[in-house]
Amino acid sequence: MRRLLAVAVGLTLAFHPVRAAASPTSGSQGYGDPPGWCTNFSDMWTATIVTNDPHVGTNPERNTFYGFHPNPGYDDWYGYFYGDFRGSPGDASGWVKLLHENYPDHYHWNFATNGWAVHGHAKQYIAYYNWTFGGQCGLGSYGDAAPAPFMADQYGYPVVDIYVDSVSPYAPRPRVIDMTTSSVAFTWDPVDDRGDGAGSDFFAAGMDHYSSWLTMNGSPGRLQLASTNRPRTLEQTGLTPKDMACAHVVAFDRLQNATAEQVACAGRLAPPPVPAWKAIETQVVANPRVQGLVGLDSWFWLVPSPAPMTMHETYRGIDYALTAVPTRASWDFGDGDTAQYSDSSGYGKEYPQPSSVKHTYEAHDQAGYRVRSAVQYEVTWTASIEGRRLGPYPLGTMGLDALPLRYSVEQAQPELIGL
Amino acid sequence: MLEARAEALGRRGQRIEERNATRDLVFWDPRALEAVMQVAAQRRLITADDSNPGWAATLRQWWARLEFVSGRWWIVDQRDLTPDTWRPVVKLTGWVGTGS
Repeated sequence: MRRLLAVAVGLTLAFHPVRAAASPTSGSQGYGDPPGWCTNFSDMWTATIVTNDPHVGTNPERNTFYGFHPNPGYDDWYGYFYGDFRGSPGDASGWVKLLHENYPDHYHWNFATNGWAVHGHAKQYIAYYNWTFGGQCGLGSYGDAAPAPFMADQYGYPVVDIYVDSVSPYAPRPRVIDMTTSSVAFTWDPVDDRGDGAGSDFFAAGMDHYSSWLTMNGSPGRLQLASTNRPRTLEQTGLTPKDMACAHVVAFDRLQNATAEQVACAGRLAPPPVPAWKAIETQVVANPRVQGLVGLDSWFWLVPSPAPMTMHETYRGIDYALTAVPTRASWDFGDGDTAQYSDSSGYGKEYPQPSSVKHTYEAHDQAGYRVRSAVQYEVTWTASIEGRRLGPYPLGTMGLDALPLRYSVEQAQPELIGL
Repeated sequence: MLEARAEALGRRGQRIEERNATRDLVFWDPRALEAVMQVAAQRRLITADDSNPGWAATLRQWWARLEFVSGRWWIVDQRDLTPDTWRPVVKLTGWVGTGS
């Protein structure tokens, strides 16, 4: 209950600026009071402003230039500024005359009046100098070597610490982190607030949140819209081949400076285009090597023996690996006979090993039979997303022809060599 | 103090408007009875010459030290923190609501 009460009181008062006791540096960091600064007769309200407006529209001092002294008196108003208010961090203006005031008129001044804009930190001192009422803070006068009695504004905020961050955070980069053949998921990395100003006057309000959502197929409807303090995963399921999902992310800092909408789009994980396979060409080899003999088995095999092949290709920004694994082979011996092999025995064995692919020709052919073989491959593909390999998924079969062999076959002639 | 400020503003025809405020208790020390509240809002300064200025985002952290005296809570010291002394935002509002 005590906590609740304390918070309730805090909630009430947190609305309001506070009055702080004057301190040697009037309660702010980095820059000391300027020369000739006199706080006599001032309530010494101080304020700290944190805003995204470089022209500091909420500057509580911008409309407080009222005359204090009836005729024959008048006041000149001066400001002393530190920090990044005219484009250079660490700047100090010296005492700048802001305006001359005739009682009882009142006047306005703000940064834009001088063409200034605050980026990062600036510290503002506002004082008046009364030409006919000197002596309150000493007898100096403007332009003298002695400090002039620049008297702190009595009823406004003579000292204001201003912090401006008008720059958006670094842009988040949505990206695909997971895909299946029917879904896609996006995320993004955390980003920092870019901050404003430079050097000792740099100020960053800090990151606040991300707004993120999905759209489908160019429709403006926002799906899964949410505001989160950290990156999240956006996933769309049930995708058809024609669907395209887009992740949208906007980053906000604590002063609501927002990045432009960042977008990444992707469909479901789709098969890549079938590449032109550049396999090592196999060729048909036989034994007997040069000529076969009618009635005698000829052995055949493929060189090199078919083996799995892998190709990489990039399609729509995704790295795919396609793998073709040989599964079977068919043969055409050129004399009308064919053979089918449903496993690796169809690739034959290199002589002198006995090959499983054999054929006996029954007639000679001087010109040679055209012996052909085709190997069937089963093709699968995988995709690499965020360093993970997804798949394998089937991509069908393909056949690759081996280089044919022109194979002449001779008829052995009996020859009488003796009686 | 607040009355004095309101009077000063009113005398000049000024008014501070604030909207879309969110408040988070970002620090609470039950021993020292110190609290820091962060207030994020949009704010504008209405003046006699400009009745419809644009809104600007503002952010501040308000520090207060409390005392419990004679059955009542009092704020005995308080100030706006400069950003270099801001507390990291650890939202404690859920915890506050369950206090007893």
